[in-house]
Amino acid sequence: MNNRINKAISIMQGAWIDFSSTAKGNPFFLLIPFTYPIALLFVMYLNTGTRYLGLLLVGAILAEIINAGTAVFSETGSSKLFFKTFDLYVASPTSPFVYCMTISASWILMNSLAIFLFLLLALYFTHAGLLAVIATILIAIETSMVLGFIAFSAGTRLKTERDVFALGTILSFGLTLLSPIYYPITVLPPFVQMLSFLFPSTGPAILLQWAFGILNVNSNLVILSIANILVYLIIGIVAVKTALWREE
Amino acid sequence: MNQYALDSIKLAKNYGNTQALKEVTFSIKKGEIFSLLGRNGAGKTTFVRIATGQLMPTSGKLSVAGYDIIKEVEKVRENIAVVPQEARVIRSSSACEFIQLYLLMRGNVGIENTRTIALNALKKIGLEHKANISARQLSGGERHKMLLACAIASDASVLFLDEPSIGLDVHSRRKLWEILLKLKSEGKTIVLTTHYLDEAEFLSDRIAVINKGVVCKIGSPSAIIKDSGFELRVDIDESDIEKLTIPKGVKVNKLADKVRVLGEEKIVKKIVSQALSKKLKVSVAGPNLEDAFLNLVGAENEQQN
Repeated sequence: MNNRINKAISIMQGAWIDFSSTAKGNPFFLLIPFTYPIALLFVMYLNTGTRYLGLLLVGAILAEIINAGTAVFSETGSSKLFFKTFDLYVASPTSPFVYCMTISASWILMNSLAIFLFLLLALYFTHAGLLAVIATILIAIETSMVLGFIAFSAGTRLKTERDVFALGTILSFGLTLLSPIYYPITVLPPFVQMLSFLFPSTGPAILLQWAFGILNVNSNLVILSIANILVYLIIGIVAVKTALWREE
Repeated sequence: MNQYALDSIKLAKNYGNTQALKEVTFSIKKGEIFSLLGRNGAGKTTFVRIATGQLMPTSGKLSVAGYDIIKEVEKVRENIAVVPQEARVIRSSSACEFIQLYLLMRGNVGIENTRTIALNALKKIGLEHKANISARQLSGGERHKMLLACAIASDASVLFLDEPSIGLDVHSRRKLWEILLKLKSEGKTIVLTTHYLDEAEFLSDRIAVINKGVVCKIGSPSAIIKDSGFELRVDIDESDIEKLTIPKGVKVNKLADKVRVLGEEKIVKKIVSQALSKKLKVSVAGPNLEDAFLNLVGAENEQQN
């Protein structure tokens, strides 16, 4: 038990060192997470006024959490293929889980300012309460962990440096646009709704939109969303356990 | 109690049809500085990657710090640290923060505790004055030293250093040698790969020469030099070599605009006498590890007389 607590403390402290040193070295890193959601919010505001702002802000919260997860993919790939610091950790008692969690937590901290501000604005525009705040925290932990695990495992399998940037961008695109983050799943045709559950971000998106009072969900959608989260939790754990930490 | 820090028995590694390591067998005693020498692609890095748990072997047995590298790799990793040759800094963290992150990921606890350890390690390598400077602003040599500080801070018993002095100036190399000898005196086992043969000769208790995946020689630097059979060498200008009669039984290597002739003392002395009688410029010295190494792995443009 003590060992696990120490490990958790080390992960949080490592994430803090990684985050704070990056933020000190280049404060612009803290602003990068705002760019895409704000562009989207601005365009939508010009076209539709405040009508969809609540929905978009909830989407922006989730997009930041997703981007923190997928950043683990790029960071793992680049540290393995480009910066070559990966070997330093593989040849040490660092476990894949600790490495992955430290990077994931560091990226969540990096995006936390954006998450916090979008959360405040979303609460203001949707008049949501404590349930929305709790849901955001739980979904942030679950989604960043699951995506971090999967992204880390995929990152360890990259073969060339070019794949790091190309696949990282495609991954973010798929998770934030093809999955119903910025729109309700109910606008999709029924068949496409089912397909969207293939994305790990769909379940969290539906539950978050429901918690903010944006989406009326029936029991089927709730069950599918919870199933989506649980299945990806298992996939994430399997992914981190089968990561290519030691090469064959 | 196991007296070996590393024990390799018939270790082999294949990449498809290519055999990178072929039944490599040798041991490294605890507290030794042991160098792996070989040409590029000889199999040194493959061996280090297997020994440090980064790569699975194809067959054979290898134990490090008394633990099996396949069945007990976590135990192996607890007892080792590696200084990779090429690692660069991914973020803008300071040297101290870089080491702190490494220590925290290794399982050390406490920001203040890791800071103290990191500062001590930086002090040991003479980089304490750059502890708070962004690691990106450090020179290549300083960054390499910082990676060595990571290994020192880990307090691992077996250190694997992949070309640790690459990019270092003469003074820094000498300082590095002092640090490595100090670590040895503290009981650490150091496994070194290097292309600097003077470094290997000066530092190593023993050396393994790897050629095309096979250990072709193992022993102390002086034993390897002695076993080469060379007793004396003479360097002659390339343009003068045709003026001399080179007897059989010597080794002739081309070195830029010079030709180096190596062999038994009495034969080499005859060549020297010839050269001096023709008033040719020569340089005579005893053989060194480089001569023995080239003899083992083959030199470019060499010919046997």
